[in-house]
Amino acid sequence: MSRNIEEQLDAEGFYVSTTVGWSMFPMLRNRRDRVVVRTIGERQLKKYDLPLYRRPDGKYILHRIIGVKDGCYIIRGDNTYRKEHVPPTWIIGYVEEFYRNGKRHSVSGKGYRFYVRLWQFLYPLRAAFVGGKRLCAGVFRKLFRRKQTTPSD
Amino acid sequence: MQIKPDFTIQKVGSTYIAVAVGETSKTFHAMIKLNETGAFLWNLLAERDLTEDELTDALLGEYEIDRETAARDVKRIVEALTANGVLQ
Repeated sequence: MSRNIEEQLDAEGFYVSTTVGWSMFPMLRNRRDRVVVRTIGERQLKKYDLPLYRRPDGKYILHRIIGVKDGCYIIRGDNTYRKEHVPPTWIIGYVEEFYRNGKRHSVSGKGYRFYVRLWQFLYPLRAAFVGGKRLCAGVFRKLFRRKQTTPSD
Repeated sequence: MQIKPDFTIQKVGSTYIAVAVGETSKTFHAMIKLNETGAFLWNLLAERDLTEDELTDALLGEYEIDRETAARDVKRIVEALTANGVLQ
């Protein structure tokens, strides 16, 4: 029970876990869906693969590869807007399949591949929408705060 | 005894894996491997509160084994689930 994820991967060759967080939404939902992670071995990861990696601070992350640059993977969550450069040495496994509402989905399935391409294609639109929303929220907060701190007439 | 609501089983290939869901998944990262018998007992315990004797009877109704073997299997699986904090 005290074994960490790497030890379980080494022992079994795979690791099953419930996903935590919203960074891979809409594909994976917080504490509801499950992923099957396989050991990385000699496998060469490619664009759109889902590696499980461990940052130097010890935190486990499962995000998507969107490119490769200078020997590092460029990685971003489906519901995040910041890229991360991840060296191959951080990577401990990759997602082979996932379970959503009890239904199995393979990462080589047609439906899944369509989702990935569509979601990545829509990234500029999604980023613009989220950026606009944050800007509006910032302006609103600023105005509201100013109004509250202004002395009454 | 009964399975806590924050646990579920997932079939991966021919193996059944018990994992935490909900809030418990934040702290419980282990996976518990179960065979067919273990998964059968798990499903019973997920539905209702049962004693070891009741589980043994259920196992005897499902598989062609003697009572001693069934009781031993039940004890072994219940001990494993208890050790992992899965039962309430």
